[in-house]
Amino acid sequence: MVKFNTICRSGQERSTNADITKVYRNPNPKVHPLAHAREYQRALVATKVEKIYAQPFLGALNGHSDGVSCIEACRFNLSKLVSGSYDGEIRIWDIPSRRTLIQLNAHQQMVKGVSFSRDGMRIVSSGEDKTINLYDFPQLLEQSNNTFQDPLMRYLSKGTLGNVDHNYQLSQFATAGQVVQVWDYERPKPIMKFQWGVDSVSCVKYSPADSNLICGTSMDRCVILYDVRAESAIHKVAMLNKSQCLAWNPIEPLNIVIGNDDSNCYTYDIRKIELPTMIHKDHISAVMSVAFSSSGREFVSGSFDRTIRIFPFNKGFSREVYHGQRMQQVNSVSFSADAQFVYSGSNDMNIRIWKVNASQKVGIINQRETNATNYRQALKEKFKYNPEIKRIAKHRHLPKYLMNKKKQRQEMKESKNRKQRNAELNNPGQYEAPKPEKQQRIEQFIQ
Amino acid sequence: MGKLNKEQRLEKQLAKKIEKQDVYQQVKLQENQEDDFNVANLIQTLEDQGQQIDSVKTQYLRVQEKARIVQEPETQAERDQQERKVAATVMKQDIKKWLPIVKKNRESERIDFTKQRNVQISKISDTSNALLNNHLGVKLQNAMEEVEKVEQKQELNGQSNQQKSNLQFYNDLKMKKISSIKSKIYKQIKKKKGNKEKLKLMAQLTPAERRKEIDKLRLSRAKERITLRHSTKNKFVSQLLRFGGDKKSLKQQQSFLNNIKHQLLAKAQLNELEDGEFDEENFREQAITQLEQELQDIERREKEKQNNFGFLDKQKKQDLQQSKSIAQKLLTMLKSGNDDAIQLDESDNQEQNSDDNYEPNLNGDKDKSNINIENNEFNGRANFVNETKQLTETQKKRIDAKTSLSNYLNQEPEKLQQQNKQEKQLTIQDEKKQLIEGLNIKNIKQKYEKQVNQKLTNQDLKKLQSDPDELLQQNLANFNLVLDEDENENAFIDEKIKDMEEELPPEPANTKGWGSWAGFGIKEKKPLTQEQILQNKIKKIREIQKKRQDAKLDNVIISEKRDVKFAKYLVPKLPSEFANSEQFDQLHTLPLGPEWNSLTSHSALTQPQIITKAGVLINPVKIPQQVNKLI
Repeated sequence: MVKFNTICRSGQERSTNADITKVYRNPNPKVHPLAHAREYQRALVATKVEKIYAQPFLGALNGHSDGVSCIEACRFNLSKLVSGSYDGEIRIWDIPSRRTLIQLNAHQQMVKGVSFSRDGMRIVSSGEDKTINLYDFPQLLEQSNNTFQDPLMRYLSKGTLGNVDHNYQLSQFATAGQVVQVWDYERPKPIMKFQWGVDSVSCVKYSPADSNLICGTSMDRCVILYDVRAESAIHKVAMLNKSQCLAWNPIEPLNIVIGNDDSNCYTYDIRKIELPTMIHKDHISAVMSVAFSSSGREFVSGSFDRTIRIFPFNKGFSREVYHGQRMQQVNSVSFSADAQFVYSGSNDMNIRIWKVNASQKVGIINQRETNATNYRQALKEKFKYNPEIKRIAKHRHLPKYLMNKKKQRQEMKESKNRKQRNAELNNPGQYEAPKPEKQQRIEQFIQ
Repeated sequence: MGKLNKEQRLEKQLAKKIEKQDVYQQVKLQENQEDDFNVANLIQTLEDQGQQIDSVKTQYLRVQEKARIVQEPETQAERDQQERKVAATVMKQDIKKWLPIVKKNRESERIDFTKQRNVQISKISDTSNALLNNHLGVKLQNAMEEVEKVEQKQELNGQSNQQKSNLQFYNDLKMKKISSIKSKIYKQIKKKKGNKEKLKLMAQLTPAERRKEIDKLRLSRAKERITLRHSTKNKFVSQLLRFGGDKKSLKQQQSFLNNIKHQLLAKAQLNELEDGEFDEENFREQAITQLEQELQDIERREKEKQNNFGFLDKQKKQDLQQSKSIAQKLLTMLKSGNDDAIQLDESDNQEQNSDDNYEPNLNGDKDKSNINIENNEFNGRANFVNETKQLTETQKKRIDAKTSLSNYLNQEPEKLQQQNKQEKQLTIQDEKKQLIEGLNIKNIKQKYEKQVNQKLTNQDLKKLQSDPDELLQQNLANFNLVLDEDENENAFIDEKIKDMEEELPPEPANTKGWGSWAGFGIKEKKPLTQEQILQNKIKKIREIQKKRQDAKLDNVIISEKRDVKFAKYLVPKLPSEFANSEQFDQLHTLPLGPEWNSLTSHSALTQPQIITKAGVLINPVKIPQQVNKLI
């Protein structure tokens, strides 16, 4: 018998190493006169493609029977989200499966605030019924069908309550309200109280990096800073309109962003809180909620104008605007801990999940693909000043009511400026130079 | 820190209270003086009586002081304010610990959150490091740097190993490729490089050894010379190929005839000055002898050995024949005594000089001059020719190139005056030409006009004798420049003005009654005259001229129109992030694609500024342990 050893190769397979031919290129720019034009074309295509593939809305979590008043994503677990509604119900969600894990009838009135502890084991909620509930998450999971579970602890506040925020390091939490109170797990009464002025505080937030600093926004149009160690407030600044929400920058714990009723967001440096360092404009109605990305490079804001906007932390205008036909005014927004998703709770009883980068692919992305997207992004960044690319990248479709309002505001602003200019021209020497806008928004700084 | 602060706070409060109390006490003491009896009065009376009650007195004072502190409490608002102030100072100091981290993050090129680290490795510019002046700040900074160093080392070790292996691999590949190169040029280059190195070594040797080495080198060079074919690209050969000989000698040949002419002119001038009369015969004899010599020279050169290149020989022959014919003509004319012919010839020569183009066709030149007279385009030149003609008619004066030139120059100012008169009557064309005031061409012309107008002094003439070539040639060139109202130049100026006119805003339609008030007592405005309109227009054009980029460049028109096709690659306005356009260009000239970069640099260039990954939690900042210990 004769045996044949057959070698079988498919057409696509390469036979030997020699088949790979390295291409040598001359890097001298004189040899590539068209490099700029080619890259420009690529950048143009990249911007267009990004627009085509922009699908930011991932899904909605529905189940609440009333408007969602507050939400917060877990700081420890990416899949958990807690939300409170106007009817006093609290729901804990599993985001990947988009279903409710636990449903609680926690408060008799509206839920003012919910917060996860740093390790994700405890949940605190505050309601308009002057009660604060502390839940143990594992315990809740055990009896997930029981909607009337007793909390681990129930605290009673003397005054009305605002939101609640859990400390990032300690087993403490702070509540807003008539008096700013700091609570400990083990104490039935607040361990600390801060009161400055008559009006109540609407929102308080712990500094994520420093467990001693608390910032709050009050109904008398003030932004107040508290120090737990000193057992007193530090200083406050009064603005022209009241602010309803604030967020700390987790990477730069010197900076806070507040959402104001004049439809702007303001960045403050807590070392020099006399003046805001930046005004972020784009909303056309009061800002209801702001949340910082955990990367500290951008923040999201939900507004009464039924939109969500994503702002770069150092830019005056938003990078992205999300809106839906059925989405009503946004009461609360939150960032996922990996800075990839944004959650929004709105008056229409839904919680929506949005991508931070609208055109980014969800799921596993291989290295080649990431390299390609990186290249595209770099090209976009490089040519972002070119008018054509700028125009395409900047354009966002907005509903009619938004467009009209925006135009109206623009006209108002122009006419106001015109009036000012004319007055100055006709009465020379009577007018002083107008103050910078940042200064105009501040009424008083109180130490 | 809290405890400390409390103590400090207490101290401060105490100090304040004491101050206040002092003032209060003084007031109270004054009141007390009116009372009849109290402890202070009692002590005083006892002291007056001479009893020793020092201990009682001190005790009393101590009690009084204690009471003073307790007596006056602060208001709540005051206490709160003080507390707030203390808290603010504490907070401000405490918060400084974040500054280096924030600064580092802001300055870093890239922050990678997928590594789950809060403090990122980055380069901090040393100049901007004067962040904190206190000791703690410096300590913090140092600790941060140490942390960085350790981390960098760990990273570098891994990186360097990989780099080494990569480098070795590439080196092997390179050596393989080099060994397979067969190019002769490559080997030559390599050899040359080796030789250079050898020379360096030679410098270190002793003289005797060096001589030996040099001998060896010479031998090797000789061998090379024999074996290798040299390319014929040296200077001599290239010139031979281009000009058919040495460039210098050719130039000399060309200027030879001119030299003779100028010498003749100079001598004529000198004779005129010295003797008062021109020695015609003597001059003629000299000229004849020189020309004869030249002819002999030309014949000799014709007999010379010919080059190997046919076309060069032809060229050479032509040149020689031309010069020969000219010389022969001159000779015959001189011998026959026909002055007119000489004059004509020499004027032709002048033209040849000024034009710098050697035109051998004498007949053609004559035709040209005739045409010029007919067209009357070049007034100066036409006059010049006309004049000579008139003079030839008289045939009584001694004529040479010099006299004709001076005649022309004497007439020049008169001509200018005439021109001035003409200018007074303004036409649009003249005005346009006036617009080009300050143009360099005009300046140069004016300068040369002055030079030409200067009458030659004795010194100049002596110079002429010694070095007749330069001064005369210079003058002739200037003379020509003054004469040349170049057609192209005019067209260029016209074009430039047209360009400016296009930029003018459109004139409003001149309808009567519009834009003017009506009613009694209002003076009617006179409509602008044609001249006024023209002057206004000229004013506007002048303004535009000032604004243009080419305002100072007279021989240039810079088109400031934007190329629409190319505009999309450009940015219309400098973005506010950049200080100047160079900065912007520098950032944006570097291509990013893999076609123009190595793969590693491409990936480095395109890395995003912030790297996040789905599923990787990002924690809030923390201060590294080393730094925390210090605090």
